[in-house]
Amino acid sequence: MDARPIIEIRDLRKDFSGVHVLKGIDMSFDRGEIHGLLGENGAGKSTLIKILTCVYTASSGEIRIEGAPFHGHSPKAANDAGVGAVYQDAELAWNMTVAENLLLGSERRWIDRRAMEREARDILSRIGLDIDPAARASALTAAQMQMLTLATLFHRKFKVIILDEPTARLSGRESELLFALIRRFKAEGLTIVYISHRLNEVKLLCDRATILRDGRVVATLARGEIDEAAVTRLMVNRSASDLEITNPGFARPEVALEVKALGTAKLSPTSFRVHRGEILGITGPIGGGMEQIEKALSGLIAYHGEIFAEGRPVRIDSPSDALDIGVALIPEDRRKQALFPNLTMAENVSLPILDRLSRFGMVSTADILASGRRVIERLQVYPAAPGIKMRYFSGGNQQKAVIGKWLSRDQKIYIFSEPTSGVDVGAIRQIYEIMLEMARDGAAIILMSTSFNELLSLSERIMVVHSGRVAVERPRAGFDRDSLLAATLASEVA
Amino acid sequence: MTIAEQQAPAAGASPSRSEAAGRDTSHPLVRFLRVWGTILVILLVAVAFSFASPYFLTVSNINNILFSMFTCALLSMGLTFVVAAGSFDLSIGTIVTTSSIVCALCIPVLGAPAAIIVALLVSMLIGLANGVLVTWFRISGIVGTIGVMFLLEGGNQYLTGGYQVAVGYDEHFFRWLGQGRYGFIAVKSVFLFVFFIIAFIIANRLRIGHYINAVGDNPLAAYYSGIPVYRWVISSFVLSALFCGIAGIFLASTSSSAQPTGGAGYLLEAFAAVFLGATILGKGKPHVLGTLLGVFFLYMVSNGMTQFGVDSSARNIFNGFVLLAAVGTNALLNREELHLRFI
Repeated sequence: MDARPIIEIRDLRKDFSGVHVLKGIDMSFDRGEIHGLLGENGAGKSTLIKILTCVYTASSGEIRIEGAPFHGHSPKAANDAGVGAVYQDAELAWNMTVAENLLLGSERRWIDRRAMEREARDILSRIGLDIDPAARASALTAAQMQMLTLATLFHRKFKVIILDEPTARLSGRESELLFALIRRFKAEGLTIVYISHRLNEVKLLCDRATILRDGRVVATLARGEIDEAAVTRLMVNRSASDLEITNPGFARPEVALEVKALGTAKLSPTSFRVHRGEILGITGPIGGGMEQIEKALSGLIAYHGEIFAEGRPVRIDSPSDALDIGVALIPEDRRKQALFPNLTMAENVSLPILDRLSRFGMVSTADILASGRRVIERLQVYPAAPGIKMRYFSGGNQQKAVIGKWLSRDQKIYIFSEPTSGVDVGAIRQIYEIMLEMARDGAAIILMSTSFNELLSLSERIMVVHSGRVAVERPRAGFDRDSLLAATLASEVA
Repeated sequence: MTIAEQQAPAAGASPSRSEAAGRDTSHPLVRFLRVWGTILVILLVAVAFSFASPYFLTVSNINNILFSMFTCALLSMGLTFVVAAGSFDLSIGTIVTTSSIVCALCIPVLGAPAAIIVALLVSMLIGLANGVLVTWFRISGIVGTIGVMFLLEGGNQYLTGGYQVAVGYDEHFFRWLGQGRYGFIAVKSVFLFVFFIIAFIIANRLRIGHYINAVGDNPLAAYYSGIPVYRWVISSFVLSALFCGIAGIFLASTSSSAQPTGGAGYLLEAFAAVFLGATILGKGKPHVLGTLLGVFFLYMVSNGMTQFGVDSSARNIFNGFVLLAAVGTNALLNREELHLRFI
């Protein structure tokens, strides 16, 4: 076997309009290894991956694939070079069968379904997967979809497969199947890059693990060296640990939201309370159950259990129920889920209050602009132009607009999901100040975040949700960065 | 333990939709109706007609239905490819007209065989233009093909000056295509069968049909699989236009003339047939066999009701009702979690 690394990365740098995200990455992936990639949110993992799969181009530095310099400019170029990524939402042709998906792009001239199913069955059994080749892709389970995507990359002779939090949507059993498949690929000489926040998975699976911090490689550990203490020590960025903002505590005695035995298909019954003026931080690995709480409270999925808003029992079966009882969701993917990019900033923020702005059924443009201006003033939105289309605002200012949209309706309970993802560094502090101000004014805030800095700066209490249940809940003072990271990484299973 | 052995107990652990998938848990009757419902309705209507009129189920009358549905069937089969690729083609009716006019104008100059080839080439060029507009020029299928439709309508009027173009009575071969018959069976009905077989093979046995389906299903997955997405979208428009071109030639042959607006009326029928056809066999997406049965149903109803002297208004009401009922029940039977697409 060729002993040269399959991918070599030398002094790779990337900056986004002056903000340095990767500050000189040097690392290599060997042929036939499972290589873990660890790091806090914002450490540069996803930027690195996006450069490898040619979603972004590097600002400087060099990537060599099998010794040859690689300059790709589209995801297809990365695919052609044999590098592919599997994200949590697999891309399959849903109305086509497993066999058709697996062989897509390599069909023979004459389409013979039986022969295709035979060929697919051979490939699947070779890698040890038991999926019916004649089943429709849309009828598969989440785990099967992911494994079919992996099989597809295998069949296309990919050399490097990048997995981004692959177990996020899988049960423990399904994860075991995935690990077996990954090991099979390794035996076939493929290189797997494995990104996960679950340390025990990395310990179990990976030959080596590289830890990124603040845009740099801090260490590459061999299998035996991967343990919680070492990884925690390496991942936590000491220089950033002296926080600039802290929550002095605005919690009032009144309970704004109480949840009793709230459970979903992927969340064991959970109970908690949020007081007025309080910021409750919730964290945990992606897919660990944290997003189930967010979805249940905003009316996006079915749940069982009881919810009380200001003492009254309520049901939240749709987003409009959530709106009526005063819950506002500020989702992570604001472009898709919270904003109307082609409407103006003022139209966006006045949407929830159009009923109040209209007189005799007519909405006055001047009133809409005025409400836009109020949000701009209160949240310091830049540019201060309510008549400009939302899509021309930066990430941070878009986030302010989403907040402003709910502020103008005076909601009682705000659920923030990763409020600073995709927000430029300068605006992060402003968003934190806005959130603290909202708490001071009496709003109850639930902060869903995987950034420890954020949680420790803003929360009064922190809840760690893991494996579908609450693992730890303590006041902010009971956590420091190390213990919070340890609580998130630790898992009771295995 | 192999993965196969572990798989079985892992399934069915959780009640959520994606976990419970893999098996169709709905009631057997629902499952049966999803696959056979539309065909059942077609059969019931056919049986009702044959009880009401002894003439209905004769070879000669079936031939009549096939003969009259020829143009619509070809348009609809072509349109099936475009809809399967995820777009719309609203220029199909006018391509039929253009093809018949070009053919009728060329016959005196070039002779029938060459005229037919010219008409088919012109049609395919129009299809190519449609395809390029919706891919490289990024115009939506609806808007792009409406634009082409207006261009063609203008061209048709200019070419004919608003009058029909006659085909000479001495063009025996050309007139045989649309007017020949052997006993009860019209040549055109046989050709309909031949073109259906060709369309069926293109859709189900050749890579072009396979890729058109894949692109329409999930263009992003197709792109990442290294499939040249634009090429297959354009191909679907060329195929659609080619079928329209053939229909135009037969239309000119049948009436020994080309009308300045001959094909315009078929557009909406074709759309009805494609979407009715998508419900047949529970596929939920357009397929050639379903389309053909959809067209057959529309023309069978028209034929049967004409025999009983039912007013055309009643016929339209019936057709509209069946289309809505078939597509509507199908949509309800295939419940998605959240429905937020309104095109």
